Amino acid sequence: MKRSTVATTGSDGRSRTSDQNLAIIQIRNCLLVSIQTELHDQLALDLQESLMERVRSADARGVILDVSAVEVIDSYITRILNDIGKSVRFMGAECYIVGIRPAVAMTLIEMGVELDSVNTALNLDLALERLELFQ
Amino acid sequence: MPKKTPQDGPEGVEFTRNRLEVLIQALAYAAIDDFDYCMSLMRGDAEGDSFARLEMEFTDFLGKLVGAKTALNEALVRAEESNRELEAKLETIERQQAAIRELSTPIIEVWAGVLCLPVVGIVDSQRSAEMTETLLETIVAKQARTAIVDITGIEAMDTKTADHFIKMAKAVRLLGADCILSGINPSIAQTLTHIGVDLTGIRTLRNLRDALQFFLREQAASHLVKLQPLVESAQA
Repeated sequence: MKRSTVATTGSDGRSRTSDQNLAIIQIRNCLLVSIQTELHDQLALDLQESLMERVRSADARGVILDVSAVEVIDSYITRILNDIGKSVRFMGAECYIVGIRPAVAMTLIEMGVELDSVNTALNLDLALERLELFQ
Repeated sequence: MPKKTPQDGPEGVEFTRNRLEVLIQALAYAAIDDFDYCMSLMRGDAEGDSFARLEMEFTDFLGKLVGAKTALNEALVRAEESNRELEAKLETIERQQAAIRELSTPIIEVWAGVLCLPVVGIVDSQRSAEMTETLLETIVAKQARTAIVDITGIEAMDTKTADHFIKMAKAVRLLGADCILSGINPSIAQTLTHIGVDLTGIRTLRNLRDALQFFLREQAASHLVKLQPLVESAQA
């Protein structure tokens, strides 16, 4: 059963999906998503859908995913993240992932999994800096 | 103690049976490890008859048995002693290993946001995993944008060790920081070429000085890039 993830835009420019764990915030022409819980499969798919729609409606040039609260990223989630990166790129934007935990990074490298369609940055500030350079 | 004078006839048989019983008794005592009493039973004047030969052989055999047992006990004591020595040595080795692990991963912040990890000595799987973990955690804690892994202190590298370093560098890049590998000597350079590692995204420089110079130049350049738009709009 597909979960509905209709995004509504508030007057503060904030967009909320029906799932409170996926608040998408707009900063200038960048979208910031802070993932507060474990990124299970369905959540990741919902995220992908909501993001694409939001990138289009906000005419965003950048997408930043904050995964500092995520303790596990498996190969399936990696694939979805790569897909998000590719799709976002097709729409003329760049995707940055910030806040990868050391343990997660080590596991990903051990598994030989590559996050090749997304960029990574240490924090939000740096990601925004790099995105500005794309203007 | 029965008389040991052999006689012919029924008294002779009776006499031999007595001596046989003494022998059996002695064997019984030998079986329960009471060699002293056993030996004392066999003491007596040696006779010249054929049964006396059995008594003699038995006494002889007993003597050898006692000797062997004593030797065995001594050997056991020595073995236990050397075992204890070995265990003490093993303990020392373990303590030293722990100390080495403590000392082995200094991470130095040589510039704002620039970390340096000088690697010296032998790098096995466990050590490289520990080093990687510590490096990654320090990068996050200090939000350091560049990590310089200096391997001047490593003489040679096999495939496995090279793989560890590649994984370390990739993990650093995954966090969003830059990784510079410095101090690769000719032998290691040849190894890396030979095993065909993919070092894309990982800069390799001669030494720490070059690495720092590179970093500072990049800093200056990126500042210039930021100034560009302002300059252009001023001229417009």
